[in-house]
Formats: sequence, C-alpha cells, structure tokens
Amino acid sequence: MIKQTKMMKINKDFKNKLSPLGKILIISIVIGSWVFMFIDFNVMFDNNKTTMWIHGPSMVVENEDFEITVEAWDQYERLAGSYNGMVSFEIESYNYTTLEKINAISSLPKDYEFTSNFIWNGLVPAYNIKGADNGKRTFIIKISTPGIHYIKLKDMDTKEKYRSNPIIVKPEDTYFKNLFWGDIHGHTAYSDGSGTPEDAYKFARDVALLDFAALTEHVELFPRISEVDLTGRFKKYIEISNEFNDDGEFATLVAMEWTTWFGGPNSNFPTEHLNIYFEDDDMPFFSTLTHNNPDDLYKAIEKESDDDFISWTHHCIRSTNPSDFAYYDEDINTMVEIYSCHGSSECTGRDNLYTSAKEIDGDGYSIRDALKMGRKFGFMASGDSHDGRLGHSISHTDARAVNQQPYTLSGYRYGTPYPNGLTGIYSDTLDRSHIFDALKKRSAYATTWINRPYIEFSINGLTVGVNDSTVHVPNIDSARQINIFIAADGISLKPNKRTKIEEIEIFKNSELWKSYENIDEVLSKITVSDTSPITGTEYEDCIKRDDGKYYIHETSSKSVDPDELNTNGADYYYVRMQDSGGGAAWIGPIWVEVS
Amino acid sequence: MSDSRDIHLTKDLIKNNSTNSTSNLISRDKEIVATKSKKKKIYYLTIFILGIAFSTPVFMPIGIICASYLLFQKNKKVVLLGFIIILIQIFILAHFAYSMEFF
Repeated sequence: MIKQTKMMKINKDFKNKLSPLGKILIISIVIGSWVFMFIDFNVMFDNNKTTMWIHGPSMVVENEDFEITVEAWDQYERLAGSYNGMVSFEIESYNYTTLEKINAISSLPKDYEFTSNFIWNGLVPAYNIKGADNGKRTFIIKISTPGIHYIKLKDMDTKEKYRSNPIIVKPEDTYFKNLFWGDIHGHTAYSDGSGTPEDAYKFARDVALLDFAALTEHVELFPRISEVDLTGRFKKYIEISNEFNDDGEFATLVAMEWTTWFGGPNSNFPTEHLNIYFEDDDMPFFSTLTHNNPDDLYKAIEKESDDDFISWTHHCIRSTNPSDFAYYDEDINTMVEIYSCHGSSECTGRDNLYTSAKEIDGDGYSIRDALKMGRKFGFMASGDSHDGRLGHSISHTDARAVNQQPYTLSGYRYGTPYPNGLTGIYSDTLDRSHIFDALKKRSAYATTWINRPYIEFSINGLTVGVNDSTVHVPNIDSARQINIFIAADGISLKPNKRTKIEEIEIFKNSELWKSYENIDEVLSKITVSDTSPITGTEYEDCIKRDDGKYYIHETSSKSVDPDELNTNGADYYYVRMQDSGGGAAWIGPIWVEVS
Repeated sequence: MSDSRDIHLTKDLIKNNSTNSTSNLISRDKEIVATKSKKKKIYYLTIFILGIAFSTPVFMPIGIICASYLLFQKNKKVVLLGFIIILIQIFILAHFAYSMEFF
C-alpha cells in the first residue's frame, strides 16, 4: 500500500515536470520549423551585385533620343542597392538585311559611377529608397544608323561585360509597328498574392520596365455579400488600374481572373481558370459565384457591359485546374497563355521545355491538341506571379520566402519553379485600346523570364496579327514561303557570357516540321518553302462517356461533336526558339487556307 | 419577562443584521470575483484571437508568443486555447511545407 502511494506520488511529480517540458518541446518544434522554412540569412543580408541588366526599347527611329536603363542585380535578381561601381558603354551593331557587323553612329553616355545611400541589404527593396541610384540608373542615348544594335556595358571594377536586348533602329521615313512588352497576369494581396496593387504596378513600370501590365485578381475572394461590395475593394481595384494607365508611357488593362476552385465532369463547372480583359476603364462584377461556366459568363458580360472584352485560359496542362477547350468562342478566346511561372502549356511529355511536377496525363489538355481542334488563338506569356513583382518575379529564386517584402499572407509564392514570362505586342501606339486591339488580333508573341528577343515570323509576307493570321493560297500545293528572323536578347545571368540562339523549330499542324539546331548565333534568318499538300488536321482523341456523349478529355464538363473538332482543311505553322540562357519564345500560329 | 424578551429580540435582530451583512459581503465579493473572472476571460480570449490572427507565416513569432503565454497558465481551459493556436500553427506550417515541396 505504501509502495503504491509512493509510486503514485512519483508518477504525479513526473507528470507535473513533463507537462511544462512537453509544452516547451512543442513550442520549440513550431519555432524551429518556422525558422527553418522562412528564415534565410543570405536572402536577408546578401544583396551584393552579381550581374547587370541593360534595357532599352525594342524599336526606335534613327536620331531619336531614347532611354536605356541599367540595373545592378544580386543573386536573387533583386536590385543590388549598394552597388557603386563605375560603368562604361559601347555599341555593337548589325546590318538589318545582311546581318553583318557595322559601325554605327551613336551618342552613348560617358563613363558613370553609380551612387548609393542604401544600407538595408535584402531587408528592404532598394527601389523604395530614394536619393541615390541604389542599383538603377537611366541614361539618354541616340543612334543615327539604322540596323540592329546591342548596347554593351562594362563594369570597370570587375571588367565584366553585359549586353542589352536588341534595339532595332528604323529609318525615319519608314512605317513600322512598334514592339511593346508586358505582363498581364499577376496577383497581389487583394486576392491570394503579396503586396498591394499600387506597388505591383509601380514595380512593373519602374523596375521591370514594362510598357503595359495588368493585374488579374481572383475577385471572388474579395469581401462581398451578393451585390454588396463590403470593403469597396472591387471599385478600388478598378480605380488603381485606371490611375496607372498613362497613354504613351505605360498602359494598363482592367482585368480579372475567373477561377473555379473545383469543377469537372460531374459538376456544372469546367476545371479551367480564365483571365478576362476589358477594352475600356470599367468592368461588371462577376465570378464563379455568379456564373458557372464560360458560356454563361460571356453572355452575362455582353448583357451587362457595352465594352468589348477578350478572355483566355492558362496553366492548361496543370493537373489542378486544367483547361477545358470544349468552351471556345473565336471572337473572345483570341490568345492562350503558353508560358507562365507554372511552366509551359504547349504540350505534355518530353517535348515540353518547362514541365511541371503537377502535369496532367492525357490528351486534349495541351495547346497543341487545342490547335488541332480548330481553336484559333495566338501565343502570349505572362507571370501568373503571386509575389507582387509584375514583370519580373523572384519566386523561382531563394528569395521566395514569405517574410521577404512584399509580404504574403498566403502560400502562393511557393510551388512556382519558373520565372515569369512576357508578351511582346506589335502595335502602332502604346495605349490601352491599341494593346487590347493587338491582343484581340493575335499580334503578339510569348517569351520566358524577362527576355525581349526581336522576332519576325511571316508566311508569304503575312505576319501574325494581320488578316486574322491567315494566309489564303489558290491551291492545296501552292508554295508557302516561311520567313523567320530572330535577334536574341543579350541578357545573361552569367557575366561575359551573352545569350545566343540555340535552336529554332517550326511546327506544322502541331508536329515538328523543321528543326535548326546548334545555331549559336546572336541573329538568325531562316527562309524555307513548303509545297506539300495542305491537308488540315483534326483532333481524334475524344472520349465517349456513359451518357453517350463525346468529350475532349476526361475532366471536360461540356460535350462536343467530334466531327467539328478540326481545322476545316487549314494547316497552321508556329515557331519555337530556344536560347543558350535557358530561355524560349513562341510565335504564331499562322494558318494557311485554300481559297 | 418583557426585558428578557426584548433582549432575545435584540439578539435576534443583531444576528439577522449580521447574517445580512455577511451575505451582502459575500455577494459583493462574488460580484467582484465574477467581474474579475469576466475580465480575465476577455483578456485570455483577446490573446487567443491575437494568437490566431498572428499565426500567418509573416507574423508567426508573435502568434507563438501568444500561444506560449496561454499554455503556461494554470487554468486548463486557457491551456487548451494555447494548444488550439499551436495546432493551427502546425497546420499552417504543414501547408507551407507542402507548398515548398518538402514532402
């Protein structure tokens, strides 16, 4: 009895002692996990310059003054605010027709020493600190010789050399469409991203140096009960987009993302996500809470708004929320997002240049399959970034941690292994309506990261975006002359190692038709003719379900007529370019029809 | 006789008065205790709500401090609140670990 009482006392003492110890242990595990996952001292305190970025407009007129901007970056692609080195400028020029090197007449900036008052390392973004260059400086230059030009920058301290994007200088008296760059898919803390919309637009304009941009928030996450906008967030969101729209300088689009968080064959919802862009400065409120599928949605928008709008899908082959190309409206779905931080949607399998661990298995999801179905859209790329850095996301680097500015309350800065993409748009003028018009006409192409290569692609002289991107020929075996011209972006994360064109591939009817490998040049011109009969193509992988109807794939929620899933006898061609820096670009398609 | 009855009545009165004053005191004490307990409840609930609000990854250290404070109180119900915050934090960390492809 005494022994038992003693044992109970020991047991009680042990419990009393274990309890605080256990609590301390649990708290330590939580603290330890948090530190392990979110604290990176390198990211916080290493902001030293590792590379430099020189950026200029893609197209200018001879003798025109224009700006070039030099940015010093750290290893996480952030501005290296404490950089105070001396830089000098040179120019490398090529003849536009012969691609031979030429000596250009230009007025370049004198040697310049960067200034800095930045002391915050990685704790505060350098672009928020004024009073000195802090890693970014803009210069005015002028080039008087038409041709293709690269501005070369030399860091006088390290002797490292860097090159700009190609700058095409056109003769004064020629008409040409300008080339503008933008990222029109991004999120901030207004829905499930980081930072504020104002900061995202400022970053896009002043740091990523974009010509146009758009945020596409998941508006169903805005606090709202039925028609009542509880915090006025939807109205404010539109106002911010309009405030930053500055014709001739920086264009924005009023846009949103229609997001299904669930959906599939057994629901009224498709699985896909859609971005919707408006021509004017307003949009009605709609979301998956108000409309189940794209068909209903488009009808409702047309009813509620007089403004024109365009829409397209993205992360088409991601296993969560893949695209459903059964929903298609040729006048609205003019483009498709071929690349973003989620990877490429061009195709599934080994030929995909940027695969995702979440890639879906099966036919009917990829852009190549959609083109076979007769879907007519051009290629664009964007960020879908959630780190508040529209146009130049850093969530693919170690600086993706949520305790880095701009902060996030959600987890969406992770799980995006690729950098953002950009869309290049051929347009006469830089303003909202022209950018919208170019997207509607498919006058665009897609690139990865912040690459701004110059690309021309034409068949029988017709380029993308002209005449509905469609060439008409008299006979099925009429010759089609395909012309491609590419000037690679000189940017490289490795100093002294400029980026070159590695491979150019031409795809016909979604199959590889011609491949030009090991090019290893900065500029490349290809002319090739196709005289094989125009056959058109069709999508043959529809599945039949228990209801007796046909669907394009297993998760589609809309039945189709398999006989209608074809290109109506037209062939189509598109071009894919890969560069030595791991980047890529897609342009096209151009369709060829027999009249 | 009347004197002794008066004395008895007086005693009764004194006794009654004393019982009343004691019960008054007790009820006042009870009121004070109840008010204090209400204040404490609000205090712990505030810390609990703050702990949850600061359980987002950016501010999680503040959330952990709130949870730790509650965990080391004597009242079992308060300790339970602390455990709830810790569980939420573990869930959030697991979600982020999954997003970061740790597992």
